[in-house]
Amino acid sequence: MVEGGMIRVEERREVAQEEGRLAELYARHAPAAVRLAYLLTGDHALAQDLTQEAFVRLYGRFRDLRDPDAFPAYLRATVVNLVRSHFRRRQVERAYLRRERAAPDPPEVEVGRRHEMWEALQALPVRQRAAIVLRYYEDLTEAETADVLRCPVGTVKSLVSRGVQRLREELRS
Amino acid sequence: MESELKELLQDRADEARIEPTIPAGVVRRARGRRRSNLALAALVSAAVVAGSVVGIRAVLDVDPPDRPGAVGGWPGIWPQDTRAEAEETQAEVLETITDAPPSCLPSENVDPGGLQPQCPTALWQLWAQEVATSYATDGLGWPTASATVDIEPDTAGPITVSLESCRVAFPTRVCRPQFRATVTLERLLRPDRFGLWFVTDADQTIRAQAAEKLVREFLNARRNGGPVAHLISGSAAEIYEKGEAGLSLYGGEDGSFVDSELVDRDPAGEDTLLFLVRLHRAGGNIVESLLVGPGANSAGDPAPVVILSVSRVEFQEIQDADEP
Repeated sequence: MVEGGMIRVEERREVAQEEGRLAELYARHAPAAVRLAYLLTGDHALAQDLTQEAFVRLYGRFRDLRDPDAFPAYLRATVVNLVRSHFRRRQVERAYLRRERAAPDPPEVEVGRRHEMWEALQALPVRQRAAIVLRYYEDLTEAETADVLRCPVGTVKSLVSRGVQRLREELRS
Repeated sequence: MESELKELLQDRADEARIEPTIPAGVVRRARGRRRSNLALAALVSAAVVAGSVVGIRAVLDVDPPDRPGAVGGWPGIWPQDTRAEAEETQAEVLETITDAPPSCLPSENVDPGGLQPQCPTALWQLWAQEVATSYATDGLGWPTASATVDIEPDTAGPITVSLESCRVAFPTRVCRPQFRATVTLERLLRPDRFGLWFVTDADQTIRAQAAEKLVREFLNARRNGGPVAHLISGSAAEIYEKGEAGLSLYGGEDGSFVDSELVDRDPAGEDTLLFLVRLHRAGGNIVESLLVGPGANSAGDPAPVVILSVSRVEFQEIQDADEP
């Protein structure tokens, strides 16, 4: 009886420790994750939702993490995957588009080339957009980007090249 | 362009904010997820302990279950089109499963959308949605594909999945369907969550691989001075014969082709693909755009894929991605 009670106390302590670690990791890495998610989705609320979902998914696997320094890479891959899953789901996508139409752009109107570039970036297929953001914002190498996107390095080259080419074309037109 | 893009991304990223304090709702959801993962892990462990020998044998058993209609032929068309290849892949996956965390296997508590990035990539074929969308992008050559598959983890199929490729219109961001297809998927080797999904039927017959193989064969033949009549349509042959826009099958006066490369591939229509190829010769490179799809070759024989038309691309050559 006492032994069972001891075990429960130990379990509770362990859970409390894990939750403390979750809060610490969240404070340290959530801002970077939400920036990445925002660049991939162009939607603040959605970026926050996906960031929080990424932490939910990663919780409970902390103890399996041999190298704590690997957490940001792990989180980044989860965010990218969640964004891709999000865009794969037609129903969710439609809801997102409805919300996009309902919510006008923020009041500060950015005009000109940069605004057009941002719009064109958001119109790229999600894999091209992810490859560009990982390469140009996260500064990942082609090999690291390939690892996150789970595709060959050649595909990353092609995605980035085609994405940038398409941005150029959109800006020219 | 690249530095401008980097600057834009940096500025835009700075707009995204999140409170550094973890919301209580996230902690609650995390606890719930952890509990369900632990329960699932306990269930899997109990099953393994209870039947260590029988259980492992059952998991590793790849003998095909009796399937009416499957006798005498392999009904899968993608990603493995022979039973031997499929069984080999299934056996590899079953070996990988034994070391994989429960969250990497289809279950009631796992996102049915697909394989998580931290999971072994070999397990992708356990997800119907992954197989369906990969068929569209890798098999049909679509740039993107979406499909929603909502099924129980142990469903064996056959199931019908609708695929759609969406092109987001600029600047409205309205998603306009670009391509559509319907595929039938089935777990042909194991009728449970450990069974791989295979495409057994599809309403689109052209395969990007078949088209790509044809284009490579066409390029090789042109480099080696071989026959191409069986690979191209009559109208494409005529364009080369007339030498329109300086096009030539074997290089012409500017020298023979010494090298060639396939630069790009894009869907052009429901059943056609557009390839961009570059041919090298002493007198200067030439870039061609080849339309590939079902049709008759220049001998009049129908073929599942043939080069239907050709045109010369005279804008600047596509560059590789610049280093950021």
